Amino acid sequence: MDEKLIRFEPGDKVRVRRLSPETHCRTPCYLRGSVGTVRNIAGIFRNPSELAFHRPGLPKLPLYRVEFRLCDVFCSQSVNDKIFADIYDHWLQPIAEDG
Amino acid sequence: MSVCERSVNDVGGMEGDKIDQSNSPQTLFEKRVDALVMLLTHPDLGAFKVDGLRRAIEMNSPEDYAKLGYYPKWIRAVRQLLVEQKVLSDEEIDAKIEELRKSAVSQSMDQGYG
Repeated sequence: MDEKLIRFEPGDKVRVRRLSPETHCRTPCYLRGSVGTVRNIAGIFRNPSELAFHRPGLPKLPLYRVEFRLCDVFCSQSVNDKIFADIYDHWLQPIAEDG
Repeated sequence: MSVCERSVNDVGGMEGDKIDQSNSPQTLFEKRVDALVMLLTHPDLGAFKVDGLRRAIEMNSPEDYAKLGYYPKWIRAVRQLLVEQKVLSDEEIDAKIEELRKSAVSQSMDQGYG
């Protein structure tokens, strides 16, 4: 695994960027703009948006498993339920701990 | 909740009909389509990647996406990807379909079902 590519560590708070891709992407619409916490690094993989068009998918991208509180994403009374989503590096931006 | 461009498959969090969770055995057609995709995406063959399959499925119109079943979406995508990758041409696929259709009709006539 190419450690240099990894921008976030478990525990880091991140926001999902509000991009509107024109092509295949793996980041669900409902998470865009939401804040979550990186729980682990799933690995470093070729970019699926590029592979989808028969291209090499390089450079590779880290894929993070990010935890969101259900009540932060949807209007929900539940405070204990979580959403875990695997999100590629270029979809995430850092947030300061006190932000 | 954020407002964004969502592709036809990206329905997480939207209101929808009750999900049919009943189970039924796979049909021969479904098994064949599944096997075809496993072979074509195998690294030794590498006709396309599963990401390409997903992209082709997501290119369906909202009407077709809602109307077509899971494996019919797959086989339509396989056709598109094989043509994109120049493995087969549309003309070759159409000609083969026509040949098989005629052969099926003549077989059923031979058996007295025609």
